[in-house]
Amino acid sequence: MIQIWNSFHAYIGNGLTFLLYVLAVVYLWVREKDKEKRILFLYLPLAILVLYFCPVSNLIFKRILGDEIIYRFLWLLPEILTLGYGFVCLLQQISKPVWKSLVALVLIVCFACSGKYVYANPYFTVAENRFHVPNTVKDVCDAMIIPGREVMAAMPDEMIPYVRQYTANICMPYGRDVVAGFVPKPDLYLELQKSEIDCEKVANLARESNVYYIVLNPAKTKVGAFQDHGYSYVNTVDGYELYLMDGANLANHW
Amino acid sequence: MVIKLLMLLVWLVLIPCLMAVIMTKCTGEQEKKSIAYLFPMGLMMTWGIFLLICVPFVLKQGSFFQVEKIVKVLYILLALVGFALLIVDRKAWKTQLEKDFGQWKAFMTGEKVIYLFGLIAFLASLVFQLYQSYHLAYADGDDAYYLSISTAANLGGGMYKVSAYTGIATTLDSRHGLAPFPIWVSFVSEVCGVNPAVAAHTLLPLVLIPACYFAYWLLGRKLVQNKAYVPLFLLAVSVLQIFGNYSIYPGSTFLLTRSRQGKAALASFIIPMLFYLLLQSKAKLSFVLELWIAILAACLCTTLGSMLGALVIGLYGLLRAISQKNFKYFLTAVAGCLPGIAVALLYVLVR
Repeated sequence: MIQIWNSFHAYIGNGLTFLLYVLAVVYLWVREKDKEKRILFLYLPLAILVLYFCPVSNLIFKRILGDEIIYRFLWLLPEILTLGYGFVCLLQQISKPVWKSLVALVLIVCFACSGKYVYANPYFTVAENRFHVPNTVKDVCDAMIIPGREVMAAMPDEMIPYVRQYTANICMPYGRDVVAGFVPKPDLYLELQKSEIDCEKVANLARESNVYYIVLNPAKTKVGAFQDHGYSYVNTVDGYELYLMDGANLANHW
Repeated sequence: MVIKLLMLLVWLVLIPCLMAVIMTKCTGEQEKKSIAYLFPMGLMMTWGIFLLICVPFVLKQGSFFQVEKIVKVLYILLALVGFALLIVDRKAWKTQLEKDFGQWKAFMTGEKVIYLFGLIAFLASLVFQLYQSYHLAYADGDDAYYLSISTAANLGGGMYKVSAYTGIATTLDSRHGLAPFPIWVSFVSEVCGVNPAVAAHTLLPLVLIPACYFAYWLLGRKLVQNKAYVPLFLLAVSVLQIFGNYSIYPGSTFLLTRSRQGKAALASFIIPMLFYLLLQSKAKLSFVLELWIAILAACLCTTLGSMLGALVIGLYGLLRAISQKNFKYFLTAVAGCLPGIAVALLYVLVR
């Protein structure tokens, strides 16, 4: 039961918008006489919450949906709809224009203050291009892409989530599943995470994974040289060094 | 970019609207002869059809380009049928248009201030959201999976045959393949002639965010007694969406941060559309058909769509049957859930 409550609590956040929602439900419970609207605004949410909080049904949903996304069950609560409808119902009850405007303003401010401004989310940044991927990723990928051909590249951590969003021409020996910890981290990834890159070790591991390109973050320092271990320097793009496997037949790309 | 936007309008607005004319004919309801109904219903129809065509190809390991061709032909054919029906029924459409215009004129004389303030404020907030969706990039890890499926399908035509994260060949990911929203994103990128990343991040929010408000517009028209208050209702919805980031889980957060993902479409567009459809539930075949379209569209968005869709339809049907003491409503709801149940069973089979 505590687990169910915790997931509900995580869903409602600070709980203020949910509190307003509860108030709107109570208001509509008293005011709304239309049978169909009562089902939508009152009985349906109640049934959904009962199913959500009932340990047996919650367990069944968890088995079907999985622990992590059980919260999506709460999407069935018509929260925004109820608040919006309650808002206009209340306004329609007020006859004096001044009071109507004042109540409208207060309620809109309440709605805004109860939640959080979505665009203040730290994961938002100004888009650098129409692809909405960092320019460095775009530039580095563009330097490696050969139309009609797939190329394997070991990319630095910060680029991994974006590479295949931009192009499927670039394959990687490890992906975002490794970065996020969904799967065990392979040796090549672990080696490239270190601040000091052991060129011999990385080159050998890269060759084993059939990696054509090694893309190196400019902040890394190298121990040894890739050139001595079968990878030649070809270019620097936005500060990132690109090393190409010797003998890689890339149609004289460079 | 202008041509690409034009193609977006043709394939994601004009064709869906024409397709939905068929549904207005099926339901025979005069009030549905409106853009408020045509656009969201049409969009759901395109999604439902896409699911029905795409899933067999995914399971048979067919090519995305085959799916694209078949879907294009079907969409155009259905749009032509819709257009023909529009011509045949032009008098009824004209009458409804005049009625809507008359209502608008009544607002402009009666409750002009409320109507105009609500409308201007709402439209300004919508434009702001659309601008932000273009101007701001949201870093979401799930894009590395979903969008990579789109780019892979777009490149070689393979669907769910390579690991989305790495591009390395793998066994068919049939579980995700049953909700091929990323393949629909590929389709959009093909018809608009842009990279799937541009289609998903820049173009799709321009359609999916308004689609959400169209669903609420329909709900407002249905629920709010004094129609002059509908724009104010939409304004309240809009404010709640913009300030709805009280946690990372609610639909409002999904709509404005991950507009391009199927989950956002399910939470913010399909579920409100289901509420709208359920509000006017009746024991009629056309109503069951509308539910089928909605639940198939939900299934395209995410594998969860079948379950959530079926659950809300079933629960509402049961509550309505109890409230009206008429078991027909529950049976109609069960009939409306059938495609969702079928997809859920398929999911269990291929899991």
